[in-house]
Amino acid sequence: MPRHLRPSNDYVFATAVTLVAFAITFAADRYLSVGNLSLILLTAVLAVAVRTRMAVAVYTAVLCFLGDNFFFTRPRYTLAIDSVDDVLAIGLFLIVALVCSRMATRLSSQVVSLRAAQWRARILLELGQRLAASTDAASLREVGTLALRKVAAAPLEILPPLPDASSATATITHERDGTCNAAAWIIPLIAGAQQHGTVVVPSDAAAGMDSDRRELVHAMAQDIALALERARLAEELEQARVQGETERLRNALLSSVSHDLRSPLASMIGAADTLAMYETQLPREERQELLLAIVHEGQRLDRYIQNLLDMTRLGHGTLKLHRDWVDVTEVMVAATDRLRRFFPELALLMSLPQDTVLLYVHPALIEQALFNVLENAAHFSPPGEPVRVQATVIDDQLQIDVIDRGPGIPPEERARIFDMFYSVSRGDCANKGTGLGLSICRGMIGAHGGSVEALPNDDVGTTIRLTLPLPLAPETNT
Amino acid sequence: MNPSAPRVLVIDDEMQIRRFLDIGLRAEGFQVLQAANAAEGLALAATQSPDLVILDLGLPDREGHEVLAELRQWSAVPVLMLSVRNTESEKVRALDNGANDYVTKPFGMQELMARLRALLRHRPASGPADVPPLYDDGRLAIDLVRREVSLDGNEVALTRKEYAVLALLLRHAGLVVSQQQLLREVWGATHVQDTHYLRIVLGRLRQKLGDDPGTPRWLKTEPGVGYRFLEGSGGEPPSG
Repeated sequence: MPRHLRPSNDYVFATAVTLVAFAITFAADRYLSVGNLSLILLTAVLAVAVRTRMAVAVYTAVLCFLGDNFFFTRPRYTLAIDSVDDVLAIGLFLIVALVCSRMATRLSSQVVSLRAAQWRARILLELGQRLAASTDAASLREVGTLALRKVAAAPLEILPPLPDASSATATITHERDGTCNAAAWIIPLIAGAQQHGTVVVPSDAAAGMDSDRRELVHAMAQDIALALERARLAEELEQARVQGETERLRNALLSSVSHDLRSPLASMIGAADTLAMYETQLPREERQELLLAIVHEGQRLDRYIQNLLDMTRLGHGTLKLHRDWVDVTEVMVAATDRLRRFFPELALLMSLPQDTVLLYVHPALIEQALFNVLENAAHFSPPGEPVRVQATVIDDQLQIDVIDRGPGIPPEERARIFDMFYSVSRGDCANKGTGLGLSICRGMIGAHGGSVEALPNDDVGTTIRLTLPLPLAPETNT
Repeated sequence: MNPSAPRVLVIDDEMQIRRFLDIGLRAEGFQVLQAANAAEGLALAATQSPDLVILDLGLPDREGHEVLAELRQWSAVPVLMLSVRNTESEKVRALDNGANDYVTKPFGMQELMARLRALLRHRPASGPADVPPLYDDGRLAIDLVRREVSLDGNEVALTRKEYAVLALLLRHAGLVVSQQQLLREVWGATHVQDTHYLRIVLGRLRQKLGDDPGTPRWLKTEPGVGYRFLEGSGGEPPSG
């Protein structure tokens, strides 16, 4: 920050400039007229006015006026003046010198304050940028401390908010006094009716600061307080959002559990109860039908519980992969076998790779992932339409496509079907899935470094494509 | 009750499971002994010398594996383990500890009965060595003495490993053979981890025998555990 010269130095400077000006004027006396000589003196007045204050400029103007009058106007070496012309000239000189010095000092003080404002603005802007880049309270305090230390040139500290509210008010009243004769200068960081901490400036550093600097420190403290308030609000919002998401998932889980656990149970209890009550009255086929219903509903329940278990394992991140070499064919057969048990009517067309293709994976998880996709396809397949499964090796990847001829998935929903508890509400197909299967599939395939995507078929239906990386072929001994 | 009917000991702490096993097994013509815990089960196994033991892996007083180990110290009775899903390693461990087969809870009666019948055919009294040296179901013929395999009358050329795997599975026809056992006996103890050998050999065997893995006629995969030779008529594969 630029500073004025000290007052006593100003007059010394002014006098020196005046003396130099007179020296030049004496030298120029031989060649110039009196009117022009006074221009040299006027230049000296302006030079002083630009560098110093108004009073010093006036002092220089008067000095030059007297000197001019004494040395150069005729008769020389007296303060008397002969010609009216000279009276006019010397009078005008004084007026011009005074007006110019007034203007020059004002201009220079404007430049000074402009520079100060620019410096201040730059510091505040820099602080603002630094604060904007940080998001949590701790790093905001750190950034603030660094910036304040630079401006105050003192080892000041920002203390975190005091748990005790009364001490906060105490520091506020302290600040209002405007005094800093206490042990330290304390600025509370207050924004949004919240105290976010206190800036503590050591007393010696505080005493050494001028009012501009103190004001700047104040403004910076205010900015820091606002940034801290912003961080607090953002954190509150984030917490609310996470809570909302957790709440949503919990509700979805609860409704899924109550629906998907209860509906098979209801069928089982109902069927068993009917059998218990009317066993002798019922014809044989109806008894058989009820019994099979109990078996099938029990299996459905078992599948759902498996899903819940899988989801918990995935959700806790405790899924441990027990990798083993496995033939793709065997995994596909295991999954389709299981599917056939639950959907005996379904036409399943399998296209397996010609040669043995080995994966190095956790076989049970890949089988479960594939089973979930197959089950999903079976749910949405219209009766009589086949579900196709085909495995293809493309470079160093294995693609397993499960192709159904169901109603398809609208493009905007395609990415979301892998979300937990997501199930497309599609007329009579609704409520068939639990909204867990595909999400689990993605989790399990993802754990193996693979991916799952939903693609539309050319005509009708959907293809779910599982992609898995193939390992390097192992050495063999067969 | 026919006193010569095979006796099955059921060791499971779940009363409802014992109950339906009791009903089902008696309907199939077995005599049934029940135990609700390990101590009771071992005592019954020692005193009643059952022909078959159905053992749950999760018992309240002792771990199923321990019970199996103790039982194996003095008895060669066929043991079928009951386990829950997703514990392939448990199943493999049980098989390696001397269990003869397993079913996964929840299971159907049909599946259980098929396993029990296979186990009774391989009772230690007859022993695996007594498997007739010639298998012929009308399509596939395996001569264990001359080490010859033919399909529909045409000889099938198998590598030594392929033949060894097929013969080992056949000697335990109807029963699961763990992949570790196959690797140990065919490739040697140092290769029990090299499951890829086994996968490739099985893939080749299926190709040479024209066995569709989707609807296997002879070679059935037990995912994560091992393989099973299905004793077929050579006609329709069992529905599953």
